[in-house]
Amino acid sequence: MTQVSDNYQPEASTYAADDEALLVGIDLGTSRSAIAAANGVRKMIESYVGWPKDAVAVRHIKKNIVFGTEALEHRLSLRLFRPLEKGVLKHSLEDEEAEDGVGNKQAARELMRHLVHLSQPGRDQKVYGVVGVPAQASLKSKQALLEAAHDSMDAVMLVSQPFAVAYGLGMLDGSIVIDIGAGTTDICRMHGTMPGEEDQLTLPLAGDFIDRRFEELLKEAYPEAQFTITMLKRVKESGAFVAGQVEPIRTTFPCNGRPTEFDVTEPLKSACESILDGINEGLHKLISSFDPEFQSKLRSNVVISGGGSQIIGLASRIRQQLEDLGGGNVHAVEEPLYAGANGALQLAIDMPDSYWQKLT
Amino acid sequence: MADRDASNKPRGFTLLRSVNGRIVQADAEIDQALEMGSSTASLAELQQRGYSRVRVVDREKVASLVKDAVSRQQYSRKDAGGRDAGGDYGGSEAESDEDFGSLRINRENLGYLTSTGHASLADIVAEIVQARLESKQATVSRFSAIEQRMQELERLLRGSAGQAREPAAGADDRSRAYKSYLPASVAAEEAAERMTSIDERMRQLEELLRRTEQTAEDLALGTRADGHAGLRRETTEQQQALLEEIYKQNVQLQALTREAEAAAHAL
Repeated sequence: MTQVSDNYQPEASTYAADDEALLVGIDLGTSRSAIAAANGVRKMIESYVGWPKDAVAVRHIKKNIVFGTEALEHRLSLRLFRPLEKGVLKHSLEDEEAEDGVGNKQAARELMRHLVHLSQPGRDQKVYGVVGVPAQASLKSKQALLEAAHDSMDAVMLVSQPFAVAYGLGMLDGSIVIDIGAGTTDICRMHGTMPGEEDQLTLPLAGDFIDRRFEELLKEAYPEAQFTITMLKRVKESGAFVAGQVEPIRTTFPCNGRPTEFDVTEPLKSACESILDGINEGLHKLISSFDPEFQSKLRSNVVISGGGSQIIGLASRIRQQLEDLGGGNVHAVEEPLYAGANGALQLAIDMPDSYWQKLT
Repeated sequence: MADRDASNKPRGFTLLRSVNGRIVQADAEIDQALEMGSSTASLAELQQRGYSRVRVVDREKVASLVKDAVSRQQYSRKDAGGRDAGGDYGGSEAESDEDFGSLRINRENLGYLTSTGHASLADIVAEIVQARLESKQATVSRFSAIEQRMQELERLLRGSAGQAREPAAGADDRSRAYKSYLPASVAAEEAAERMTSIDERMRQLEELLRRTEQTAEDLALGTRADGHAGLRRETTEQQQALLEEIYKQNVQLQALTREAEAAAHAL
């Protein structure tokens, strides 16, 4: 595990140019956040932020704030936050009431700052970033994210996450991007212009939804098994599938304190399939409401990205569902977890310097 | 298990480092990936952690490919070949070694080589520099051969002309100088024409060498991850319009955010 000090004075990067701002692309996700920087650094962390609960915890952890997997590992000693929900900043009363300012907003700020720190900007080097947000994020959500980002970057631009993916892939005309994250699935059709509201959909059917469904199904099938959502998430990430699985998926959960092996193949498959109908509906909606002359072009260029696109067989299942509309072509991006950050970085790089300077 | 050299750097592994075919690789991350687990990590372990493109590098193959491409002078300063060489995003069909048969060395392809795990950035740049040096040496050898041939021709011409005037020192002036003292014999005229053609060929070779060096420098510059200058590309009018639109939307968003902050502050 990378040791990150609480002091955010960045070390001078080997790659950093003194006279140039560091450009970064950020995919701030509900489950994982990724940053890709123009200096070649690329990092991904779990979107968890934790503060030690008391002085004993500080002594034990030896840090005032911890992030990612480390925060999850020490969660019993921490006030743990996962600041994003369904891709946007959580708004809770806790934010308003916390006397020490600790809450989701603060967690989002720290998470963003930590990501920027991981990108190794040079000492005193300016940082300009493009941050991907859910396709239909509200104005309030965008403002909250912008506020959080301004603490760690000199200039920030927000873009729709699926648009960033499409831009990075150069698929700006006649394509559909389905970005399946943890909190939301964003679907966006690209037709050579900036996608408007009518071109985008945000569905709450994503990784977290699958986890909850998986939990329900397992409780039904194995009421005696003891597990948490975190444990189920790990099982899902190692074996999620909707087609083509031959080997049974077995995992071990405690059962009255005794480790017991369970076959979770069917519950896992059913849970993963639970997002298919919603995605299919969204896809149908965006295709059928488009200019009929160009519908076949959209169908033939469907791209899936995000962590959810790693579900085995997902592209082929979506392709099967497209048969109802005359068939099409669906494929997964090469780097599902970094596609958003890569696209955002490409936008940041292509953005003229004058625009960045005006935003600082 | 990853093989390690004396500097404790893992050998035999390279890590995906490409932003849409453009290189943004940092080898340091390999170490970090290894540190995340134990002191060493297997290929499978790295892949399991999400570094799905980590592969064993066949450096010899990459070296021979690069050298072959350089020797065939298949440099391209445009980035048109990236996708043709198999870098089509999302596609996985064209990722076998055999697909590098028609390799053209340019920035896009370098990105593809690194992104498919066939070589690290440092390996490729080193190979290009080496190939460029070898190419340069080959060109110099050819120059020497041409020079030698010219000297033979000089002797021949002197003999046929029966005159002992010293030829001009500069290569460009040679044919003119020879023409001036040649007798008006057909053989001598033909020899002078051949000299002109050799001079022309030398100029072409010099130009080729200059462009070769320039391309190698461009490649080194473009692949050096020292900021965005080397990564910036030509944007299409459509992309420019989209960038402008994003900029305008964000200016508007910032204005609204400032207003909201001011209102909250006033309250």
